[in-house]
Order: sequence, then C-alpha cells, then structure tokens
Amino acid sequence: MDEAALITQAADGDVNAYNTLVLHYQQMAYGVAYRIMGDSDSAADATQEAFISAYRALSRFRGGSFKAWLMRIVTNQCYDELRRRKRRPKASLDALYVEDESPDPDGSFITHTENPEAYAQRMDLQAAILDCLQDLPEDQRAVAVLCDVEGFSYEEIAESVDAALGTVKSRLSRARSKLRDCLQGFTELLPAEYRLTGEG
Amino acid sequence: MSTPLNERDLIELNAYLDGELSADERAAFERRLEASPALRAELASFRQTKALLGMADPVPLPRNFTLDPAVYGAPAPRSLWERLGLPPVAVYVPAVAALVAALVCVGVLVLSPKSPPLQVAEEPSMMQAPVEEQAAPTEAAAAEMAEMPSPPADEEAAGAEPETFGAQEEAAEAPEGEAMTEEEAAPPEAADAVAEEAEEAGEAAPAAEEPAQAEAIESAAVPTSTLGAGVGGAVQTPLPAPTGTPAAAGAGGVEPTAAPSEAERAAEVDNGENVAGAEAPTAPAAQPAQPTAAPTPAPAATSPLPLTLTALIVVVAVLVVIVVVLGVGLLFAGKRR
Repeated sequence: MDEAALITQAADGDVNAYNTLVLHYQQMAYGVAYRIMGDSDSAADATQEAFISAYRALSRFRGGSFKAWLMRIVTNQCYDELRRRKRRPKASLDALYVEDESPDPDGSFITHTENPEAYAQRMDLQAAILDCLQDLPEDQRAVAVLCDVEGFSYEEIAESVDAALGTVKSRLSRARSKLRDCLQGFTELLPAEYRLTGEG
Repeated sequence: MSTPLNERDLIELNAYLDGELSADERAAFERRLEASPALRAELASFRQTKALLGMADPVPLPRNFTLDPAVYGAPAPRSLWERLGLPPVAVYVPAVAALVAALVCVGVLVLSPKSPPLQVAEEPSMMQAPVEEQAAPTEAAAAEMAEMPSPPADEEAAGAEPETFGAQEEAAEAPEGEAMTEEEAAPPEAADAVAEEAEEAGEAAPAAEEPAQAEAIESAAVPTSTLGAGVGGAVQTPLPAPTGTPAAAGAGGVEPTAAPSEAERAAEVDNGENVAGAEAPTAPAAQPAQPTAAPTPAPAATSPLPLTLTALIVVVAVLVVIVVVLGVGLLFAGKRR
C-alpha cells in the first residue's frame, strides 16, 4: 500500500483511496477507541466520527506519521465523548457497567483452535486488562494503550496525544505502575503464566 | 531491597524497557541495574505488565468504517491556495480585489454621466467649423448658434424681428435649427414679408421674389438641401436655413446623398425659373422643418466620445466578473474543506 499516494488521492476527493486507508487502520482505531471508551457502541461511534473528521481534515495533514495523526483524531474523539458522558454520568456508567461484565458478549473472541478453558482464561485476561485500563486517568489510559497494546513509539504517542515527549514518559511510567498493581489483583483469576511475579 | 526508586528512576526504567534510551543512557542505566536489585525487580514487574498488556486481543470490528461514496463521493478538492501552500488568509485576496474593482467600476459609472454632454456638444462643432468655413463662412457661426439652446435663440429672434411676433411663436415651437433660420432670415428685406412666413429661411435669398419664397420654404423644410445648394454655387448668398444642418450632416453623414437633387431645386428657385408652385402652402413647410431639425442633435449626442469611456467600463466590468467568479469559487472551494 502506497500510503502517501493514497493520502494525496484522498485529499483530492477520492473516497475509494481514503477507504483503503480506513480498511488498513480501522482495526487499530477501533481497538484504541474501545479500550479508551470501555464499550463497543461508544467505540464504534467514536471511530466512525474520527474517520469522517479525518477525511474532512486531510488537506491539513502536513506529512509525518499518518498513523499518529489519525490516532490523535481518534483519541480526541474519545475524549470528547467521555466529557459528554461525564455531563450525564448515570446512563453512561450503567451502559459501561453492563458492557464490562462480558468482554465478549457475542462470542466474537472465540477461536476454533482453543478449548473452552483456554478461552475462559483468555477472556479473564481481556476483562482484567480492560478493567484496569478503565481505572486509569484518561490521559494515562491513552498512552498505555498506544504504547503497550498498539506498540507505538514514544514519538508517535507524543504526536497522537499532542503532548511533549517528557510528558509521555511520565504518563506511561505512572500508568504502568497503576496497571501493575491493578493486574496483581487479578492474579488468582489468571493462569500461572499470566501471574506477575515481581517483588514490587 | 535497597533505597526506594523515585519517579525519575521509574521513567528511566520504562524508557529502558521500551528501548527509548540513547546508547549512552542505556549503558549508564545497565550499570545501575547491575548494582541495584530493587531496580532489577522493578524492571521485571514492568516487563511482565507490558507483556500482559501486549496479550490484549485485537477487538473484533462491529462493522467496517469505510465512508459511503454516495455521501462523501464529491468532497471539495483541495483549493488552489492549499495546493500552493499559501496561508488560509490568502483565500480572501480575490475577494478584496473584487471589492476594489467593483468600487472602481461604480466610481467610473457614477462620474461618467457628468462630462459626456459637454464634450458631445463641443466636439462636432470643433471638427466641422473649418470645413464649413470654406464653403460658407457664415455656416461656422451658424453652426455654433445651432448648438446653443433654443430659448436664447427665441429671445434673439424676438429682438431682431419685433414685427414678426407671430412667426416667433412658431419659431419657439421649432427646434434649434429653425430658430437659427429665423434669426438669419431676418434681414431688412424680410421685414416686408408676412409674419407667418418669417420662419422660412429661403427668404434670405436676395434675388428671390415673392414667388420664390414658396420654394425657399421647401428648402427650409429640408435644411440639408440648402447646404447642397451652397456647394452647387447657385446660391452665393449664405442661406440661413443650413445653419442648423451642418451638425446633422457632419454627424449623421447621411445627408450628402440627398443634397444634390435638392440643391438643384434650390438653384432653380433662386434663378426664378420655377415660379410655378410658388404658391405652395406654407403651413406644411413649417411642420416638416421640425422633424428634420429634431434628429440632428440625436446622432451628435451618441457619437464617438464615449468610446474610450465605454471601453474602459467594459474592460473593468469584465475584470470584475472574472475576479469575482474566481474569488467566489476559491472561497467556496476553501470553505468546503
């Protein structure tokens, strides 16, 4: 995929070229939105709005990492939705609570090669990760997701969250400390290979 | 465990874990790791946390997030300014240029009506005077008089011919050309003429007797013929009638074709050859005189002068249209983004 050419064509109004970019990045965008938002409906809405906003703003893309630029739009869209959610907390928190009870309500995480026990363990881990991420402040949550889940570099994270490199390092350090402590609370629920063994 | 780690140590530890330290920083941190079991323990726990987070499964997509070409198929292409890398404010340059051009155009249109009438009235006489002087010196003066408004002519006519007061009333109704005719036709000989015949310029012909006056009336009725008569040489005496015509002849350029035949008739009248028909009714003579004199100012008023002005207005208008269309187009192209 010639990303630069697709971006140029999309900026000139070629929706098909833009859709090629969407298909390439939608998994990452939705994953980030899902782990920031905590539920699939809100994540889907934020992802769709982010892709629409990005399409309209393509002419302002000045080069660099398109992935980071796109994730910045996604995270901003998520922050906007979270702020709206805070203004009407009851309904949104209820929805989030129901969603958190089952990270895979429709069984879409199931693979045909694993047995039910392995599937259950994996689901426990997914639930623990999502739960611990939701306990983080929003700014630390986004940094942790981008770094440890999506594998972004510090520079890409800084661009994605519109923060300085030092701020990213600081947020990531704090986020990991909290995540470590949170995940240790799920130790008994996790299989042996997932249990944290550090003295800290 | 040794001394607790501070935040700076944890930041450096996570940067080391993520491979974000420079070679020198990495070497220095590894030396610290060897000397600090607590640092190693922290590093292990963070590494495990990072590994756990890395086990997060890709979230199944509820649907594709592609855009519908039917809805988003025709977005505005990047505007010219964006393609050129100009700042957004440059989009307003065409609009400002269009505004300035429109103001200039309006200014020209507002100011132009004041000057043309003066120039229109003067130019024909300036150009014609030398030409007319060769044939009939008095025509130049007559032409100038013809250019004057009719009310003053009426006053002069009234002063010159107090006895022909009835004729003056008719002259007052007549256009400028005929008023001049009256003025010139007021020599002492004409004082004997009946007042109602005073407007007939043909009376000015000294050699003509009463019978000839009737024909002279006809010549006055068609002023251009008298100009032709002057050219024919049959009439040596400058005829008053043509005074109003030079402007028309010069401007219209139509009269010369009709002039020869009527000039002959005028010459015949002057020679007294055509006495018959001298009793031709005079009333019709006055009426035709009006229509002939009336058209004369019209062509002169629309002539050449406004050409430059018109060209300027057209050019400015075209430029305004181009600039406005361009500016509006670019503005819309920029705003649709």
